[in-house]
Amino acid sequence: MKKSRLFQRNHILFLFTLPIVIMYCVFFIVPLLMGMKNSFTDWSGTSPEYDFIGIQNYIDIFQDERFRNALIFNFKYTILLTVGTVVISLIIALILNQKLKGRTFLRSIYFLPAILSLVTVGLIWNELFYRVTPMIGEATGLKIFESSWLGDPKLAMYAILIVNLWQGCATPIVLLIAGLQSVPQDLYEAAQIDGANAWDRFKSITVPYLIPVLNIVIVTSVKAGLTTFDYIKAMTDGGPMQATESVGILIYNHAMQEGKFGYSVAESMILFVIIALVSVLTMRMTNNKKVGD
Amino acid sequence: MKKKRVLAVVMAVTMLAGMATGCSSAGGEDKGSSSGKIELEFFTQKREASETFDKIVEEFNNSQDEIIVTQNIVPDATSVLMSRAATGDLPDIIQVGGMQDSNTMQFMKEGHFLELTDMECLDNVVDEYKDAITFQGKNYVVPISANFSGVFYNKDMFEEAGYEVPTTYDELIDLAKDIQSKGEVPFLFPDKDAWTIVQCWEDNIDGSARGDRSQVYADIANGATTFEDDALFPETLQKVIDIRQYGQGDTLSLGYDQAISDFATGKSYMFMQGVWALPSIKSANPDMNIGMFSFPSNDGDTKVSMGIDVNLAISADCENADAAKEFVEFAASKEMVQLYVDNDYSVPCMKDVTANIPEAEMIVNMINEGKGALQSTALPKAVADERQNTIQKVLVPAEDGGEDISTFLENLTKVFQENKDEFLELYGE
Repeated sequence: MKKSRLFQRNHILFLFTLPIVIMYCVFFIVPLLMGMKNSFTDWSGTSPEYDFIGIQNYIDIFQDERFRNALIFNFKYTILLTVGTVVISLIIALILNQKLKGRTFLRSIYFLPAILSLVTVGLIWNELFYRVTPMIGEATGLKIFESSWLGDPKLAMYAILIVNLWQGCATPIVLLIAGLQSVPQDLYEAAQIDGANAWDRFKSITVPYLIPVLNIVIVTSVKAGLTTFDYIKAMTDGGPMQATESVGILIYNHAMQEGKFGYSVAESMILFVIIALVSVLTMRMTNNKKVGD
Repeated sequence: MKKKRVLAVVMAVTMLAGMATGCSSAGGEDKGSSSGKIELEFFTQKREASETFDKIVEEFNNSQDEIIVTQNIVPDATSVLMSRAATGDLPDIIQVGGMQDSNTMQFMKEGHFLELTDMECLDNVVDEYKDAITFQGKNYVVPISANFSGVFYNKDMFEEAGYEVPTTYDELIDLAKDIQSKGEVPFLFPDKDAWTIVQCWEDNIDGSARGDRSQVYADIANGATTFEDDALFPETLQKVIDIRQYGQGDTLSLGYDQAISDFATGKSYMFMQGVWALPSIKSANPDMNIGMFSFPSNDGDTKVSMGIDVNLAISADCENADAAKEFVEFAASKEMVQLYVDNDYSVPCMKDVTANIPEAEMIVNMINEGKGALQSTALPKAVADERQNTIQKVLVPAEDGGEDISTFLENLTKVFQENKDEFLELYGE
């Protein structure tokens, strides 16, 4: 009797999720399956006719140097972005959590980049890199600042990374400050009485309490790094010499500009699998350490 | 019992969802006939010309009361057009690029455009252009205006320094050296946007020396020659590289829009582009005194590389093809083409219309003397893409991942050979 009531309750709850389930299917699962079909064709994206060519697209992709370079770029970028985001936003959050004068003002200043539109950010930094970097170079005499980083195939990735971090750290900082405020102050006092120094307190009290927040920060920045598209589109469009061509940009170029729609869908299928694998891995890794474990 | 109820609810929801989608699509079609007039969408891709198109559309809408045309211009129009073609939702009337544009050719080849061979306005096309706009003996586009490439120069700065417009390549280089020796910048190169390098090479430098490219492309497709063995391509590409030492330095960091604002504010003496940049330069600095000359060839036998800039096409799926044709006839009438070229600084494709570009008087005169060469052959799309994707490499030293000219040209030949069937199918005998 009891069991069947529970059963009934679950059914009703399931009905509440139905609109979302249907929307998810219509707007996500169905296009995914349609895309999967397209990835086995040589469709140009506009032609009325196309042929099924089996897994030829996938075979070609694994031999495609351009795709490999894009993938390497993505991984490099993701690692640097994730490490950068965690370190920089943690440091700034710790500073902003101190009892500073004008703390609220500083907090809003650091959040400002997040409210700017991405195209604006791209335009501003394009000009900054083009006009200001040579000035820095002249003033300091350092060769690395001689010319705009965006025009240098070796440095363009770091230029994009700087801009991404500048804007992308704002939200993690806010999250981390919230996390820091949830740490009970008496723990610090107790540790201080026990003779723990600042580093010990940070390592053994602050970090464990921040793990759930860091979890979110890491997972979102890994995902942002792997699917990165917008910053590159706004600043270098994959150049110079395809040095900043991420898989996202490559997929877009193949589909929208080079008339290889089937091929680009196959690329996005591969990216999808990679992101799924990496996400599972990061969640496993970060879930292991939590307060109380 | 309960299972049935659940099932009923699920089915009801599905039905509702189905009705909702049914309704919305019906609503979309309704809009077309609600006012009792035929509504047509006119999709344009040329941002600089949208105001002029608006004038033409307005004149057309006022001239009769059965058809209403609306202009639709979006950012990144090429991509939008691609995706709309993919979903079978092409706009009724489309403004496309010339026959030298791989995208236009792709649409034509795939049958997205309505055949327009019997349209009256085509009889009025300038005789020399007629061949260049037919595709396999048929017409799918109506040309409105053509553009040309050349070198913009700051007339005031030239006058102040006592410079004359150079007539040979050597004179140009001497001039550039002289400017540089004064610590000033001869040229601006926006190489961050790879298309500008392609344009600098194929239209400005190669086009002004060679003229029409159709023959050399056909020869490469037939295996009679290659990019690296051709008499001009290696030489003209070398000039692209050589002339960059007279640029602003760090050319790969400068974008097209930045270059235009820099040139308009007198940061350099010259700027190699197409005439389409003129409206932007003038709006950046309305007081500027600009001139334009064609990039001089070695012996002064310079030509002008031209391309059809604005073509009008009608979607093959257009439901109101007659109404769309009526609009195209109107837009291609002498008065409207005159209105268009006056506002757009371009060369008309229709007879009895005069180009009105005081800044480029020198080039317009050359065209009138018959020195204009209308480019009408598109590379296979894969070759055009490969070229644009890799051309920045020739400007970078090998130790930074660059390529030398012969590697670059050999690669182009290779890609061309792989895709030559596509070329021969379009242009073969």
